[in-house]
Amino acid sequence: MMSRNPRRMLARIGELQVLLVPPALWLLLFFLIPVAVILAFSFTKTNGQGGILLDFTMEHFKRALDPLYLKLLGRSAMYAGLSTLISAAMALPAACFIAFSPPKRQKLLLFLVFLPLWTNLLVRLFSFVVILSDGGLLNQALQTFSLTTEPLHLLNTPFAVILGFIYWNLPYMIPPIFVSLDRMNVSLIEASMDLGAGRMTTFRKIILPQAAPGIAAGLVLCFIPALGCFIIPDILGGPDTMMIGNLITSQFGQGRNWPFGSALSSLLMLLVMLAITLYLRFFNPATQSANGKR
Amino acid sequence: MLEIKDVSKKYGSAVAVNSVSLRIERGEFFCILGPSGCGKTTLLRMIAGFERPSSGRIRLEDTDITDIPPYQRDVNTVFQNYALFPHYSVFDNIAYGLRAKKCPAAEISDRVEQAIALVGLSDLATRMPAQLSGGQQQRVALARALINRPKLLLLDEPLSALDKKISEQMRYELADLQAKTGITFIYVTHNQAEAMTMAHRVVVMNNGCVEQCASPTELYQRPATRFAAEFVGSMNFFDGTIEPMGGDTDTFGILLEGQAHIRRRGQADGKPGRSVVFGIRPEQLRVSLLEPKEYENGLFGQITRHVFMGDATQLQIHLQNGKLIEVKVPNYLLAGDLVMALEANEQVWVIWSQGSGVVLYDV
Amino acid sequence: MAGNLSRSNDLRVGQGLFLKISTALCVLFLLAPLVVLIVYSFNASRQVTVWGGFSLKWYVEAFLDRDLWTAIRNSMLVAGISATLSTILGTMTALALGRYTFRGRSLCTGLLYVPVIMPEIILGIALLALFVMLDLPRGFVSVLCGHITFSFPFVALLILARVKSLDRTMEEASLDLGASPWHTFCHVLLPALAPSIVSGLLFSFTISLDNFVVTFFTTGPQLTTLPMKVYSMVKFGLTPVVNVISTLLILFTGITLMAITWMQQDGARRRLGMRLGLALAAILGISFVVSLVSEARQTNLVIGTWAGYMDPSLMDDFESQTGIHVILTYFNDGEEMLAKASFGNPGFDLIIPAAYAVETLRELDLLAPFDFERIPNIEHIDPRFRHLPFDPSGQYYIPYTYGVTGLAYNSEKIKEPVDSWRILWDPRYQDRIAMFDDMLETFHLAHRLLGYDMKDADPAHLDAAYELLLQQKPLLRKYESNLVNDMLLREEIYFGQNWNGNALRLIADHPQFKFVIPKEGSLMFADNICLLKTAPNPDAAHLFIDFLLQPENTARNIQTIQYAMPNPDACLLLPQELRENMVLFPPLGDMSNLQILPDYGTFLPKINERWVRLKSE
Repeated sequence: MMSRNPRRMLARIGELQVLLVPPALWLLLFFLIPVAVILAFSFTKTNGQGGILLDFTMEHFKRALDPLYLKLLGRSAMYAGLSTLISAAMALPAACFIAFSPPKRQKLLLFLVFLPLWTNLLVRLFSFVVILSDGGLLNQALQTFSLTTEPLHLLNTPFAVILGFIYWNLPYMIPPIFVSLDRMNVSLIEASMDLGAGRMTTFRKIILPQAAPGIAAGLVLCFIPALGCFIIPDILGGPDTMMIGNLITSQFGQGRNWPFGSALSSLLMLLVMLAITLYLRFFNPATQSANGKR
Repeated sequence: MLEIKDVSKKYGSAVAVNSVSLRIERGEFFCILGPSGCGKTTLLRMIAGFERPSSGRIRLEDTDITDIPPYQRDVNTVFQNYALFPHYSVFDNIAYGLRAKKCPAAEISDRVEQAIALVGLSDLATRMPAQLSGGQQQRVALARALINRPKLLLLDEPLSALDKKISEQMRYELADLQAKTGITFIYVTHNQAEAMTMAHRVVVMNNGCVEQCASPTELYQRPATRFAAEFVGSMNFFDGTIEPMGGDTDTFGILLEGQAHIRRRGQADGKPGRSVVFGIRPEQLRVSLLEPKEYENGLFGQITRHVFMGDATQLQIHLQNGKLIEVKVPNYLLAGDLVMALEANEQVWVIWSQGSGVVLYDV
Repeated sequence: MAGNLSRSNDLRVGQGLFLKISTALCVLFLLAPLVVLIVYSFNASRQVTVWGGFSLKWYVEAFLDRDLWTAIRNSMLVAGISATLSTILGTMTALALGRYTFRGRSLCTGLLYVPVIMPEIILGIALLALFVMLDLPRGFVSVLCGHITFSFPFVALLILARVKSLDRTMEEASLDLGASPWHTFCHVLLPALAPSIVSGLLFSFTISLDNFVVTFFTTGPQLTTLPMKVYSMVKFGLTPVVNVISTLLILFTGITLMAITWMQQDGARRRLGMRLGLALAAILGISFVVSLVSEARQTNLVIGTWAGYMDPSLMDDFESQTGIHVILTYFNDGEEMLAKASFGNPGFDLIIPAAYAVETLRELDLLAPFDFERIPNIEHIDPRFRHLPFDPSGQYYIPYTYGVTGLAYNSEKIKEPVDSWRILWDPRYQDRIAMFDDMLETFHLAHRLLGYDMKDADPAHLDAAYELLLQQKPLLRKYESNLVNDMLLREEIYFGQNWNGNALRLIADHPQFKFVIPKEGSLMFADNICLLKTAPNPDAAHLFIDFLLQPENTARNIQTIQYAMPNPDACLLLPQELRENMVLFPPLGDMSNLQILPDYGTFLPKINERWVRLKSE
């Protein structure tokens, strides 16, 4: 009996390591080390031919902090933020309606919301080219109803980029809000109405606070990918809609300036961390439940 | 005060509440009792306004409230799971109704203080609901509803989620609170003990229909239906037929299970030969080795099981006609470990007074 | 009772008119583009925005496009393998984190969220850097690594939630009944986790199938996935085939979802669903095996080139003659080509750089000399082009095309004479102008208009050129190199910088468009075929070039792509009006106004810095 116990413990430790080591190694090799390499690159010099000299320099960060690039970063945050907020505003009523729908309709609506996700993003963006271009469907419709005489310039504008982002975000925004509403106890609404609060008050004081964690999760879920996105401004944008993602991509491609691209990526990571810190500061599920127990 | 008239509620083809009519008086503690799925909660939700009757009307005092939304009714509810708003403190929860009605802030804080004191939670005003015990949450829910001084307070199984001890203690508190405030309570439960302890009147519901509406005593003593009799306490039932009149006019005869002749005091409600059900509660029976007297009824059988229950002993007796009945014998008759020194398998008489038992005619 | 809001139906909470309308609008907004895609896949017109009647021809074209099927096959293969491995890794992670307590567990759990939340572009460039540093070829393996890295944390988090919610007593019951831990794992734990494992598998399959960004950075020319294929179609020439692909994808998704839903139901529906699922799986499996087998016998030749720069029918002929399949990958501009060709192990056999880039590539020692013994058809090349200044030895390049940048415009919209580049600065044509998305072309033009020569590498000149371009920027519709013709046709622009060949292809069908070489002069290009040192298949490359240089083939090529080639024997085979077309064959005698891009050397990073500024502004 005595000899079995340690051996079993050993087997248990072995089991854990067998399970844990491969994924941990994978993450280390294919995520942590490469990201560290990028961070390291941002302090190296270029040789002018696209190569890298292992010399320490801060020049890329200095260059990245040029007002021009800060403006670009600001523009990226603005596009991502604005489109995320608009999608949240659109998603909230829809998520409410879906959450309160009878099960069959709920299933159908959720299916319809998810349907675009099953189609490639590029393909969906391409469809916006068809819709928004000067001779496109939207302009044709506007002219048919003689709302405009000249075709509106929609494609290759900030409007098109933001619209593209909203379209991209919406299917990711509805589910978390839906889930937080669906989790809500229905008698809270009844209690509120029972206590004399009308529909608007009930929405404002009961439903909205209950949906808040879902809205916050949705905002983070949409804002961060939008921040680093480069395809949408590439396909729908014009000459003045460049975003940080495009700049990074160009530095790793035709710009052949990896250190500068790396420095920009480091800034992007910083921005992402900032967004997440803000989110955790206000909506961390862990600390919220801890507050509840205190 | 509250009049429910022919109210029905259908979900598709399923009928939850079937043409229920009730009158509830001002200041009454009224209990709706029934098994789960009997439609009692649906009825309550229709009174609260969460659901709309498929047909029928509901009147509160002189107004028809059938189509009035819940937030315009002078009716408040204590929910089964309390439904406290998790993002508001105890104070804010209680103040919710007053704030919704745009009361002045000073009045709100005064009345909330009072309400909190009324339910004995004065120290906890700043706590969040998740930081409270079940019993405390229960009190907050009560205070939150009562503070609006509703004409009618609806309580939907409010004690079902609490521990047995706390829930028994809360029964008295609720009864006292109702007496103190004078507000009409409508209390939904499936627990007959709660109904018996607190209510002035109880309605027993089954399958969406009213079985009986009466005071607790009457309900127990004179159940109107087999369901009501069985749901409140327990009862032995016999099929029987009314026998032709004999010489005695004070009593009438019933033939039980086609074999035993018994007599019941009073007048038969029907012609001889009518089928009835005769019911008698276990505690109304006694066992004896001696034959019954002429003013008593008796059936002969064999004891098949003793169940010691502390305050009483439950005997299962196999009657001659093959039927099993239960007899509850108080334990002051305990001799050693055996009731009246009766052995298992002992042959005994089961005896009851001619004044005991109920005759149910509609079977 | 919680979690079923629909219960309170009589209050009609959340079912008001406003919510109804906003939900309807949301759904409409989400679905309208899909409907447009489906409808326009039946469009007879090549113009993607104009309805030209009903036709199935794009379906036929898509069906016959073998590269498309290869891309679909690749996507399925990558998604299948990465989903399987991600699910295995994810399950292991979830079990380790959910069932054991050890130091650093919460750190490990937190770490799982990092790849999930980081913008994909970070993972993409990080992996690119890793593979380039390790000098590993980019392709199937690198893409697979990328996909597994972003999908297995998702799967792990999904399964972890399930592991944590599991009732441990089930396992204890199993152990109590005498089952071994392994038996318990197989018969109790795994079945309990099965639903989450399956949904993890499906989810990672989906995100891998749909992934573009990580693939974009980690793939090489040998591996094109469906999103990459769609990207190149959207970026380098819009055709309704994109609509066809999307329609088929939507259809496929719909049927799959239907089969899954039906399988969860009872009776006849379930059987139908099973059959549908089996049929789908069978079709997938068969086409998979077929394409794998055909691929296995196939030798690939990878050419990095520009959109519309080679006659596709020539590739088909070459393949039927030699069995070698030609894969074309497009670049956006010369710098991108240099970048793709110079980092790590690029995977191209041949690339088609401009003159200056040949010089750069030689300096970087990336080129291999040709073995002209194996290219007898080299004799057809104009000897004047054999030993150009950028490679006097003539060993490292084969002259391919030459041409000139000019100005294409819509003569229906522009009635005034067009003879100067300055019209691209005319505010009257705001939003109707496109410039190349190419820094050397644009900055060269700006220098030329200011009367400078960019070869002088004068920073002051560069600043002035920058100011000039900045001044023009508000007037531009877009910086665009590849879709100028499409934008002209859609009348989104009236003017565009364009190459003569591209413009000629447009004018052939739409005579309202005109092409001029403005009086200020312009840029001339001479593109060449070069063999990379790292070429996987140099033998095929030699065979292909010899095939391409046969005068008949060169003539066909010229007629299709409308660019001049220095192959006099081929020119003799051309129809006379083509041979004498001054736009197609710019006169080589008077070159005073035309300049060939030189190698700007160390001035390039400075130009690039300005270019990035210009575009960021």
